[in-house]
Amino acid sequence: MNATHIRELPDHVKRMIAAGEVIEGPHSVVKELIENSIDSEADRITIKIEDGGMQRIVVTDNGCGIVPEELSLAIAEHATSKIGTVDDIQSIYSYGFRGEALSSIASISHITILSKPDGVDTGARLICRESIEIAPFAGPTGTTVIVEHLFYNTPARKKFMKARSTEIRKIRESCTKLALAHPEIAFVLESDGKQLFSLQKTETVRNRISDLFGGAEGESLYSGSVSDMQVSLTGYISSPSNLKRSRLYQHLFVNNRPVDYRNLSFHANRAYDAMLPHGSHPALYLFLQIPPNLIDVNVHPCKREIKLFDSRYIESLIYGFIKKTLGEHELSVGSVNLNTDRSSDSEIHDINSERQTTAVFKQAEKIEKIETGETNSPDIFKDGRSLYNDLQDWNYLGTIFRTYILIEKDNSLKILDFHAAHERIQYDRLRKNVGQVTVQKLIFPEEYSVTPDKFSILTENLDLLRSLGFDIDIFSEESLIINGVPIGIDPGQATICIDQFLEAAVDVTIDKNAKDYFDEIRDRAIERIACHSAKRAGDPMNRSDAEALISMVFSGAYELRCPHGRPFVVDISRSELVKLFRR
Amino acid sequence: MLIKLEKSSLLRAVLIADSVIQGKAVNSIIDNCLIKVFSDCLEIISTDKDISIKTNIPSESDSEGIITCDGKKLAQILKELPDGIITIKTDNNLMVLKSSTVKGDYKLITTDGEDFPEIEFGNFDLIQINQSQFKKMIKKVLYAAAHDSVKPVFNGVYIQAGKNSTLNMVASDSRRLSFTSEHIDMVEQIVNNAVIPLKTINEVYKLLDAGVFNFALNEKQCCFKIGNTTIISRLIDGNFPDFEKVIPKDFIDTIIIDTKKFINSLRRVMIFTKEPTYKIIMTFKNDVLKIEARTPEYGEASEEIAIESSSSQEIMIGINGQYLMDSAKEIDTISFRMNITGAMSPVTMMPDDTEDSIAVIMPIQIRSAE
Repeated sequence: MNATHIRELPDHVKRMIAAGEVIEGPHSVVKELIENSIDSEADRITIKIEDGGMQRIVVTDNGCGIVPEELSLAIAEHATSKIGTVDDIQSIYSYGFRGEALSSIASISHITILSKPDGVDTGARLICRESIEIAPFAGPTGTTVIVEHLFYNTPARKKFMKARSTEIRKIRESCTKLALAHPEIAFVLESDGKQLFSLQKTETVRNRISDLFGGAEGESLYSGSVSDMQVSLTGYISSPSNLKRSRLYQHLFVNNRPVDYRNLSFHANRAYDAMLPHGSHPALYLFLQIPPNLIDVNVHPCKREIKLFDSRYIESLIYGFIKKTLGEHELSVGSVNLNTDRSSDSEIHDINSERQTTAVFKQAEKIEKIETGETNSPDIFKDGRSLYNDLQDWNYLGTIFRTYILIEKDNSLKILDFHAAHERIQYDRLRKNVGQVTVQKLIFPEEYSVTPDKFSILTENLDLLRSLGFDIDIFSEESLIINGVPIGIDPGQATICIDQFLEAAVDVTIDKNAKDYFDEIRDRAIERIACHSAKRAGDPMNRSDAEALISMVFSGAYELRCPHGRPFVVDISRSELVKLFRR
Repeated sequence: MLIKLEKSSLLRAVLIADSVIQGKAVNSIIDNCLIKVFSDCLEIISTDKDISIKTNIPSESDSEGIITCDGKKLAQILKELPDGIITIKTDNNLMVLKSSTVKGDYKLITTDGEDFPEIEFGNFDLIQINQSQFKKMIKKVLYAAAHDSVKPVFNGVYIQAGKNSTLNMVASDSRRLSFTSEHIDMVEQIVNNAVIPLKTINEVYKLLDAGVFNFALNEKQCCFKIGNTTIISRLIDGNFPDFEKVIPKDFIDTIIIDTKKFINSLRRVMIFTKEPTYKIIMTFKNDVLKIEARTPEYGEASEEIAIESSSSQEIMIGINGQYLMDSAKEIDTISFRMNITGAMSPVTMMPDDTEDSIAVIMPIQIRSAE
């Protein structure tokens, strides 16, 4: 056997290995280059990518440029203009400081830099292939970096690159994050000649959010700020009526640097508490300003993660910020204003009348000795439900306006909106069904006929429908057959549910190849189906239905908000009632 | 107008009438009971527009007329009065009640009966049916009906004239179905089939007792004459699906189970199930039926019962335990037959001596999505 010797790696190999840490893919190149541009105080940055950045990445800015004499240093290892001494690291406000980015990129790609500083007639052009060539350059002020043939010399890494569309998505994400942090900079992003976004300079982050995600999105956000001694937190958060289906809209910036902070979502959810239906997440755009000496950015080469001096403190700051911001915009749920003058025209439909009649009937039977058989009529409906219920700690008072259920519980009067409550239960059932579905097979399968265009939408989404608990098959050229429905859905509503599914599928117009496409349809379909399968205001609701609903609502398994985030239980405490009567 | 009659018969008639009244109708006059006074009888009438009910009771009156009053109030005061003869005097907008034994006047406000809608208790070709027989049929199917399905035909009981003078009765909510059939003379004389609303069936069920009653159907309405009470009801529009097609005829296994043992085991195991599924798993293997339930929040239960099986093949079926319970309770034989058609196909249950009563229950399927 040959002995293996320990050898020092050649420099270029060392650099390639190091580069692997900083440069994970085209998106990290884009990120590094944009950060350089921002550090150069540019107010306009253009990013152009070809073939998801694998072929070519061009980032142009109008920043301060690089002096021709120093251009060759730009791609040297640990060469940077951003810090000078170790102490400077303690006070970094710039993105870069390690002096790794350009040298790393240069070691695994063909890089070209064109730069002209302000106030100088000619700049320089650096072309780095096998060797480095420098030539004069007469262009506009600023710097353009062209990165071509990324990973040409590390085929293994190249092989691991995700699909082009994934890479474009990541680049877009990186650009979006930096654009959010810098509304004062105009950003243009182009992919294969197609403009993905073009953002004008603006004054506020809210405007930038509107430009990125639509005007309504920006307007609906709540803004707020909290500060403490040396630390301040400002930002925008979702109103409870405008929640998201994914965590993609949760951003934390520390000194304007986008960072991944694992516990962000957890603490945000905690702050939103019951306002957050299952499966939805608030959008968060949080900007933490903190003296640089209190954080360590230098834990990850990509600077994606940071170390905070006291994470518990920051977490409580975030939690407090969200609570406060929500509190300023949302009314508290606990109390209501009752107009005492109007109470006279409210009528309580006495559900006990039903019982009284039965009781009266019983009496009559006794007097008359009528043999009507072993039971009174309502009892033949009696199912096992009540048998298996535990003791209840509430008292059903009645239904008013055929819309609200009145309940006495815990020394207070609770008013329950039965449509919204039922909608929540149906919604959670359907959601729970995702992953593992419980299907009730039907005795009488339902035929569902559709027009050819809708038929194709349905057949494309057959698996999705099945994953929701619909046992559905193609029956003919223009009809399907429903053999089963998710448990809890009235079989009579099977076709209505499919209608709603179709509506949801038609609504979702986003890129069909995106991974979110089916999730989006599924989520919307669940919302629609829940809404349509829930009892509506005005629908007859008998005592046993009402009691079943109440026991589910107060079982603790459900949030007391409808899937759109509106509360469905209003609580009037005994003391509030006493006050109304001026006692 | 002066009326004399037996208190208890009036109370019964008023209670029957009042049970139909829904209250809070837009047309408030029909929240009242209508009393038609003839020289030798009274007719107590009420309606909720879908059902109209009329009870005829003997009385003595010096003249004829029509009055309406709040049936609930009338029933309340009648209930409190001792049995015996009472007299009713009508006077403008009041009816004055007097008991023969209690000294007192009870003046109830009445309204003019002329505003009460005219109800046609019309002419029907009636056939005679045994009351207890019909009542038993209702009880066997009623539990399987839906209460508030958006498909109206499921919110009722389907009746159908079968072959050889039989009457078929079916109820289903599409998750389960219950069927029963009895020989009834002359049944072929009635209209072929109809779906009767649940409320009507309930009223009828309450009234059915012993002896015979008269029954009739036309395209739009059904009529029940039970004792001195007549019910006219609207039928539910729409066609009930072809139930015969969905009752399986071929089975992969037929088992015989002790009814009582089955119900008792099921009752215990069901404590470990949860709404709305009440899911239990039945496993049939080598003359043993295993019933299991598992709910993460509660825990699990499992029981085994000896059965007689026609096949040695192991079959496992997920099913709503409550549905099994409802059907098993309606079986009046010591043991019953359960027919299996497959893990994802209907289960049928019937008494072991007849095929005239069949319950069909669709299984529940649990699927893991990838």
